[in-house]
Amino acid sequence: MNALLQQFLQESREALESIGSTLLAMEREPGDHSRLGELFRLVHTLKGNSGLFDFPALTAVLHAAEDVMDAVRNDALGFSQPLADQLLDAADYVSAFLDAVESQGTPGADFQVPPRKLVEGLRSWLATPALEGANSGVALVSTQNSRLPVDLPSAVRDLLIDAINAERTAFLLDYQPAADCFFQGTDPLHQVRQLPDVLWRRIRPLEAWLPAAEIDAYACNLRFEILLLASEESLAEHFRYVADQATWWPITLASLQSVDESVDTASGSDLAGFEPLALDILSTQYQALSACSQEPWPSGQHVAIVTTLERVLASQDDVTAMAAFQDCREQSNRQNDAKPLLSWLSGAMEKAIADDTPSTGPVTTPVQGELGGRPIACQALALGVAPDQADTITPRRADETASQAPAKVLKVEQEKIDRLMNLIGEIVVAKNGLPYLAERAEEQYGQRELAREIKAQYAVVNRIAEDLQDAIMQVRMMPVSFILQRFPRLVRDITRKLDKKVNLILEGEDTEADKAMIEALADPLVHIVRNSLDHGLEAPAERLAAGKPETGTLRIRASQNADHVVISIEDDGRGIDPQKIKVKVAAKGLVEPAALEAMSDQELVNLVFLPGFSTAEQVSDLSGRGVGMDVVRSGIEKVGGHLRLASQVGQGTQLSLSLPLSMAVTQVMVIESGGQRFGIPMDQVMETVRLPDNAIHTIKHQPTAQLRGRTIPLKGLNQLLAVPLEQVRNEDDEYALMVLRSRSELVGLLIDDFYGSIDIILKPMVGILGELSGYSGTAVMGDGSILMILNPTELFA
Amino acid sequence: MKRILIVDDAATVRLFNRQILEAAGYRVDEAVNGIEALEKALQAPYDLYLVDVNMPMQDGFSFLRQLRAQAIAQAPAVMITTEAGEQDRRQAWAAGANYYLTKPIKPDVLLHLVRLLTGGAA
Amino acid sequence: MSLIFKGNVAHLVDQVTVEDAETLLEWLTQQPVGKVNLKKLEHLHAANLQVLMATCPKVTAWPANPDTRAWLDAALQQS
Repeated sequence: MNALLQQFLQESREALESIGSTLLAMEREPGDHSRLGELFRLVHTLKGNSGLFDFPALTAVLHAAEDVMDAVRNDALGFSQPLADQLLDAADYVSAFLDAVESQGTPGADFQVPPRKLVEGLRSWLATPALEGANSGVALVSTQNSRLPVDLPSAVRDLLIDAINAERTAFLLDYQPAADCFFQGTDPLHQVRQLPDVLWRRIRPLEAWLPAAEIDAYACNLRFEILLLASEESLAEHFRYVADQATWWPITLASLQSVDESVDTASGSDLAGFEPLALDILSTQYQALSACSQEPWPSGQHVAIVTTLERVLASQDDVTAMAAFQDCREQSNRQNDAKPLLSWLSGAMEKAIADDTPSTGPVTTPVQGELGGRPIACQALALGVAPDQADTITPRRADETASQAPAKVLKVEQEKIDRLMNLIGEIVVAKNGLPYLAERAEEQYGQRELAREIKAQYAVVNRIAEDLQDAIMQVRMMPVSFILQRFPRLVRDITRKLDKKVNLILEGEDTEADKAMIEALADPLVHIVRNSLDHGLEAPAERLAAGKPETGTLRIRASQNADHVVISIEDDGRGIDPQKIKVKVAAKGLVEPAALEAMSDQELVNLVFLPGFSTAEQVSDLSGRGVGMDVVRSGIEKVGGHLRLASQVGQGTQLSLSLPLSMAVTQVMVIESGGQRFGIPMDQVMETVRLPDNAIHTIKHQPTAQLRGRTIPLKGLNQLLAVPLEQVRNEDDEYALMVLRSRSELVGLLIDDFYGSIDIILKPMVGILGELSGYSGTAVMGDGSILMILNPTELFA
Repeated sequence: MKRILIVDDAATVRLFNRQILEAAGYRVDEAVNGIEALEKALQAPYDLYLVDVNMPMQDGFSFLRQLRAQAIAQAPAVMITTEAGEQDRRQAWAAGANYYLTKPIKPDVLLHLVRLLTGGAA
Repeated sequence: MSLIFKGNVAHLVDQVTVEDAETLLEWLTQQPVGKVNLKKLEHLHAANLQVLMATCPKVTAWPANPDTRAWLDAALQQS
């Protein structure tokens, strides 16, 4: 995929996220118009970007959305929930489109043709206001000058003047039939031929024609511009079925006058033989100079215009024109006035137009198609911007814009960060080799001094490695808002589907965690929220009956707790009824009845994590997607997190997820058992003790030990790993016992010996090894050996 | 070598234009908003400015007005936007633009225009 | 018959309908030097008009009907 497309995808996704959240924010506060501008800008940027690629379907949707947002921004259209729905649909389409492009490099077959329903749905918002605008007349009077074709044959102009003097009303009509109008039985040409008293007409393509082989004869690409004498009512009547496709402007004597005036001053050299684009640039300078002719000569803009003129004239190799221009420039400089230059430009352009224009019929300039259908060249003269109009533009104060530049942001591909991460991991591992080296220097070679130096050196390297690690962690940190921002939309859609009322409160969105953690959180969170909406929160009627407010509350709170990020999801719904759980579990035979009876309420509630459990009476299409809470829990645990569930019947449910801030570096305790070394994650190690042989008591075939008043079941690691060896005892006949926490229970693990704790980079096991349960991965040790990292929770299961 | 400053908040557009212009031998700098653009122009004036209208922080109009008001740059500036209305163009002239291009920009048109406005080859 | 092909000249006669546009386009695409005779044309559906505008064939004769001629001029008689 090329860099441009990649950039496009990335930028578009960012814009989509912002659009989504802005739309939802506006839905919450419909009166708040401050976001409209930003929303328009986002859609506008997206559309602009899409135009760089051959994505007609995407551009069509974005174009329609942009038009809608423009109307909303200009108060021509009110913002409403149905409109937000439509825009969100469009956002979904764009998102799917981007997915397709990302996976295949092209939009693929599904996205070749613009989604007609979606585009028409968006456009339908515009139909009515456009008609109102066209008919109001008032708003359009100000633009009438600009609409009049500049190249009207004088005969037509005379006819117009006569008619207006005879109190007939004249209009300039711009009719742009919809692309699919032929399929709706419309013949636009027939339509316009029925118009009365047409004085002048021009038919042009809306967009430049494709090569003959690619033309679709049945996609209308026509634009009709017509000058006619008619009443406004008859026009409205004539185009009543296609009101959004036709616009008209009244023509007054004044507007004709301004065309006349601009044509009379003719002098100076002609610019025959100039490239059309060069001519257009020159005529543009006329407009620009008119706009600033009142400013004291020479203003910054005057200078820029002179520079522009110089460069363009130089590129055209016309010595005469250059000389004439230089004369006038000198005059302007002497008189400190833009006028000499202005009249030279006006004269030169006028002659150029005359030379270029056939005496009969209207003209379009050859470059027009190239410049995106914008009529260019020569309009400047006829439309002559009056200097005072330049002043009517609202001045923007400098303090309107924020004065400080944003922090510079460098976007880096994930792969590069991952590589850096791996390299740092290797440094961490390599540095762990230094203490071994020091040991050998001392013990094998008796070099105590050298050993001390190596240790000192190790301390330095260690500090740098830690800083490095910390720095790369910072890079990988991202705010949880990255995943939380999808929830407003999700909650909104689901509650609407379920006819429930829920107020979603997000807190602590700025809390940061490692990118991998955040990503690992995404799916479990979605599932939990779905569950809560589906099973936890009641329908409004049920809530009212229970004496609760009609609208339920769902609160997602993120916070940082030491080296963990904690996400809690709380609702004030019906809670989980332990008795119902008991019945259900018993009915499904998931747990022995006797064991069930012995369980506390909290233990019963925790049974929802049992594989194959579902609390709802029926599996709904929302949460019942075949994923149970057991999957959610194992997903969280896989990345070293914990999950806690609490619930009060009738009051609500609280779930909290706790994840390490980063999963890149794990601290493990190294142990030995059966002649092999293993690592055990430190966060599961509660304590290590030496246990005398006689302190072990067997209760119901289960060896146990009393530790601080608690009875702890003991398991031998060799036995768990099916190693046919006794655990080794030390000289004092003591076992090495490690007390581990596994899903809020304490278990004693008998091993052969403990060593210290080290930092490791955990590599998940792949291939066949990945299916071994009981291990969470491997790590490379400083001496190059491989350390297997145990997963006690799985071992004890 | 002719130096051109692209001022646009859309990174895709910047990259697109940059690729075209650099391939033709121009030296291209980028700015994501008017403030950054002004800073860059102050450091060393460019031969041409390609300015997007619609930008956060400081839009193209404000940027041009400041560029012209402080006589920082005498070089031509091309306003780039999707609106092609008369109103928009007038506003561009008033702000100090010398030309007005509508998106989507075609590479050949851009190159042609840049060649004319920088007074010849790259 | 509203669309008649004689050699490399297509005669558009009387009313040329929307269905003819595809045929006309195909013929003009395959006949790079194809010309059109509009002498007896009264009306053509806009789909045909845009085919003519896009392919720019040489016009051997303009419509006799002045109104038809005026509209075709407005579409085809440009630089």
